[in-house]
Amino acid sequence: MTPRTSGAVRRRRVPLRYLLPLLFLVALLAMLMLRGYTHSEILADHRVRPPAATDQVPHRVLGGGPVIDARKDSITTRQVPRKKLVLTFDDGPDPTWTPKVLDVLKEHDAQAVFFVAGTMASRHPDLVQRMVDEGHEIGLHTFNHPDLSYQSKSRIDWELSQNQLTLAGSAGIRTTLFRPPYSSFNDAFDNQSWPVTEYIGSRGYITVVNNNDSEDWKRPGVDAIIKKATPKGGKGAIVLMHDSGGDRSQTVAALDRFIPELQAKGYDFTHLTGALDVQSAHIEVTGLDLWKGKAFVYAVQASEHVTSVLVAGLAVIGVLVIGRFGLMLVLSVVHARRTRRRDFRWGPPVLEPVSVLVPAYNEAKCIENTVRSLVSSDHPIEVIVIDDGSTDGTARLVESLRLPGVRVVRQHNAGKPAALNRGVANARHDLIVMMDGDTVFEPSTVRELVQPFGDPRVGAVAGNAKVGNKDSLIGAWQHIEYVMGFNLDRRMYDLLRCMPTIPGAVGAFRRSALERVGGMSDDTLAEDTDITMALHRDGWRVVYAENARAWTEAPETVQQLWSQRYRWSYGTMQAMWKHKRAIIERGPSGRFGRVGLPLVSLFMVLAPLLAPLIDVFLLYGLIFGPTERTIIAWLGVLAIQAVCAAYAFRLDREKMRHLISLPLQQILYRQLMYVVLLQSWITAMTGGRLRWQKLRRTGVVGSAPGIPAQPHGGDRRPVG
Amino acid sequence: MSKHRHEPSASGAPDDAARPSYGVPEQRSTAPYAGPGQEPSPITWGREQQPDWVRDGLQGPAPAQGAAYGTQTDWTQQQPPPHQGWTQQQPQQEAWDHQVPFPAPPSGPEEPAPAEAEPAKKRPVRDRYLDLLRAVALFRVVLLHTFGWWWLPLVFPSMGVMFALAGSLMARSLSRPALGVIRGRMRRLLPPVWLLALAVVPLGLMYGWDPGEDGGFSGWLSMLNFVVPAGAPPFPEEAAFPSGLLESSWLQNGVETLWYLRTYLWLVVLSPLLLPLFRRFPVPTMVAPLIIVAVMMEGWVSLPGELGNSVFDTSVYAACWMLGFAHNDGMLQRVPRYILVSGAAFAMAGALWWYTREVGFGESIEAAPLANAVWSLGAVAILLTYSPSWEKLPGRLAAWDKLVTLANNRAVTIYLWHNLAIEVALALLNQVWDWPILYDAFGHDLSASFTDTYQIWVFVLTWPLVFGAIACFGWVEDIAAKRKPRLWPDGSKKSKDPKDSKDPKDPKGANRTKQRKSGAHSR
Repeated sequence: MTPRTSGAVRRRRVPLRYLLPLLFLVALLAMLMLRGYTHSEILADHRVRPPAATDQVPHRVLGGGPVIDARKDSITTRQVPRKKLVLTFDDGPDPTWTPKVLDVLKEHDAQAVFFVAGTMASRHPDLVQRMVDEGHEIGLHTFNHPDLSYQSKSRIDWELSQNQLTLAGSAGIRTTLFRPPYSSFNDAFDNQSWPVTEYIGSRGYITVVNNNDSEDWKRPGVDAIIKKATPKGGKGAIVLMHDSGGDRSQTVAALDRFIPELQAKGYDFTHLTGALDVQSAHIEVTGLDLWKGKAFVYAVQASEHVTSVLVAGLAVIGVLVIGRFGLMLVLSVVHARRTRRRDFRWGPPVLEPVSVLVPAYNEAKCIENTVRSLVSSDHPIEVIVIDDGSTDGTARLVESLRLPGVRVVRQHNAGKPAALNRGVANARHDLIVMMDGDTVFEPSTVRELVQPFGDPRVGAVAGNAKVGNKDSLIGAWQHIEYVMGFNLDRRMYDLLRCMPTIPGAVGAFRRSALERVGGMSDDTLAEDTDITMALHRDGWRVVYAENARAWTEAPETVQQLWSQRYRWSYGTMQAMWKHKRAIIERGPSGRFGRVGLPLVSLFMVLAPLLAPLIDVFLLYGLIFGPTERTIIAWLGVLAIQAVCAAYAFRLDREKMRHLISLPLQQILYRQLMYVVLLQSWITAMTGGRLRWQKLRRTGVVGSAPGIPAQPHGGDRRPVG
Repeated sequence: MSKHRHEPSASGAPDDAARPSYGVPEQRSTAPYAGPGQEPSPITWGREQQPDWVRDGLQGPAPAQGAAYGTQTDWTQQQPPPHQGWTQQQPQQEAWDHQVPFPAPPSGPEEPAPAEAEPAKKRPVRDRYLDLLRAVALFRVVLLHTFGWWWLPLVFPSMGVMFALAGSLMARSLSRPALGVIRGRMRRLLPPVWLLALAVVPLGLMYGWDPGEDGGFSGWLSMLNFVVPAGAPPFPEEAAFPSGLLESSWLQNGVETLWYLRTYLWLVVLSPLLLPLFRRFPVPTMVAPLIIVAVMMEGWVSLPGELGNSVFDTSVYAACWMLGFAHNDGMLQRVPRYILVSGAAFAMAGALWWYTREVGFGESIEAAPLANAVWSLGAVAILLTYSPSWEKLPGRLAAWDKLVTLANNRAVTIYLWHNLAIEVALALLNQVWDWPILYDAFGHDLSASFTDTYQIWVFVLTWPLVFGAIACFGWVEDIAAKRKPRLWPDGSKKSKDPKDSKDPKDPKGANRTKQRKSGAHSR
């Protein structure tokens, strides 16, 4: 087994840096699921049983009173006494209508019974507390409002206990009153629903149905509601009303008339146990049960808040993504138009010779291709290969080639920035091109790269790095990323004058500019970003030369890719932190600090951090939510990206073939990238520091193709 | 840069520091496609059409770039065979014969001309990755027949994998005359079927099975399918068993899996036609069976009875079979990987969509044959494209080595007998209901938990029975392959039998023995 890239002894546990991001994402998903549960999106059962035969229901129940006590073997029913009216409200509490109902009841000094649904109660515990405080009675109405005749006994227990939990957390009480969902009058009990009531009675609850159904949920008008609710001839009654589930304005208005009317007739509006003159149905909850209830209610509240934060985050990332696409497209068009105009010149043509620095550490496999490609350049150059203490004979290999114009400088292993600085010191010319030991240039690359120096304000030029090994899956993904992400980005940043990074594989610098900013430093892991930001702060312009193509070998295995991106993202954060003073400085440095740094942090740090939200919501929507609409939305975003990518490919004159791997990239590759970023964030914040990891070379990139790459017969057995 | 630690390769290739000096160019293979682990030529892009500036800049072939993952130095000199994985030209009889991987002497594989030039040849070995796939496929089949989970065929399309692997072996064998190959395959396949038929058919006939019940004479005629399964062997829905030990569906369950053999034989017989057609027109030939499936499903063309079933099933899996051809010819490595994987992903997404429309989650994808065919095709394409051609199972998988070998050597036996093993396991477990201890184990009634975990117990009990079947009936496979019968071929005993490594031109191993003496021992 190979050791892990962290270099430590192989551990059997999952390291923290993989575990934390994973746990974080799982927690987000769990919060979403809890919210879905309390909004009846998950585990909700909306079936309603059609009426059935009634031969198995005891006659005593069918013809008896609406309060059914099935707790003992002998079933008794009770009727509400004359001149007492018990108002009952189902499915509450609702944040809009329940307060109004409570106000009306308070105004008329009436009390009622509220059969609360657990989902609503958990979301509005304060209303439940208010109900208890104002003297009303609370009963259970299950958690999710399913038709209990369809549910198993364990599900019924679950519904009831969850409901009790919510009550305990909201108001610190338990109750013994229960009203089944979709219940009606006594004679509505049938062979399917009666056993449920029997079972619930055996659990210690009193089932309460009603005498009068106001049917207020149909919104028939205030008069109709009052007519249906009024009992005939002074009889006592339990009246069914709703304080939730839609527009209850008619209910509130009806109550306002109904209560004083009947009170004038001598009716007493009281709660159930008061009307029946028995002990209160509320039992106080203390100790562990109370804390469990409070914890549950708290978790529900948290999930609501978290969800709104997540939704806001999703909106932000949506805006960022679309904004970025828009900016990229628009600015790329502008950039392309400008630089491709026939009469466009940076300045006078640059003909002076150029020094090309090739820092190499153990690049024996590729260095020959690199150097030979340089030697074939059509611009006068000198090539300096700086061997950074290689152990595989890189320096000897280059020397044995005996190519004209190629020098080898050796040093002890000191790192790439030191190698580059040494190269600059040894270079004879004033224009310096920096590349990597595994990059292959085309003959015109150097020339194209240095033309912008005809403009004296230009201090550095970024070239067009391309992926050479784009036939494997990971290679194709990176190819798309380079063409769409990096190169399109570079055009945008060129115009905005805040290019954050010159690719280490192909970049050119003016010696004077380098000397002014002090050369390359190894303060950060991404010295290319560092030097670019320093140049901006010094007032130089950094531009993008799209025709200066260089072919580089992208990492082929997930491990190497991870290392590379981790280094890049961590290095970028380090560089941004190093140059943070630019925000408050004046002049060109301030301009960069106030425009460039925020843009970079927005698009390169914040956007990738928020990107997981897209996947969390996608997953939630696929499994729990509206599956079809989620898929269509995702396909829509994919279409936008495909259009953008197609445009980028056209602009770069690449074949569109590789776009076929775009959908898979959105499913697999993007996730990898943001996990890497999350991980680098965690490392940044915990102060850890990772080692430089070397890209494993396989020597596949042999030459810049004059003709598009043929599918080659070798295979390297990579992962992707 | 901190003291850089060189990162070793993913599969333990020697450290780069151990590379030979660069003055010596090593011979690079000129094969159009390299075998496993072969280091590619560094100048491989558009090599034939290199622009002048590159070509003129070069001075002769560049030195070989050293080993890639998992290669030993010898392999850079070995001429790679024209396909990966199976590095030895051998008939299919060796397919289920586990060859001794390492201590055997280097013998000359029958390979095209360039092979002779090479000096020290490593003995070619089985591709353990394909073996692992086959073992997993068999395991999943037993899982499905025990638990019946609908999502199993989605997660791992066993049938597709098995047909693809068989197709690959068939393509390799077809370098010899077709008739002989077909005869050889039938010779290997039929005796185990006959043994099963001998075991179950008389019992069934004695206890209530009347083949002539529905079809009269044609019913009896279809019994011939037990001799040569040109159609799926018939079975009754109900048949008694002596003393009622097994359920009445025992014969149906035991025999209904034999459709696979019928399809397999059809594909074997069709292969001599399909292979050249496929080599000429790969894509149309692979798509044609899917079109046949679609046409038959829509009912535009329907063939009666067993013939229709045979044609249908053959068409469903013919595409996977041809993927096996492609794998054998190395075609899958020639297509750029991103195209293959992305295309397969698209096909699988389409199949999934079709499946949710036709059948929906909750029922097996096999109820939507077109979706099943395309899903299997995509999944197997991805599995084969990433085929890493292991000589040995790496890392943690090495613990499963013996089981994988056993499964591969007794694949036919396992497949034929596992359903009966499940039936017997069910029957045995039924006896547990009569045990009083189930109801009163120290005051606890375990019957409810027993019911809940019933299927798990069946699964657990099935495996010893399957192993028993391997021991009792597996020897037929060896006899059919003209080998010395083995009781338990899990590769642990390294057989010294020269016949263990078959040479098609030298079945008695005479030449091999000579080679062994001259090659390895060179006295």
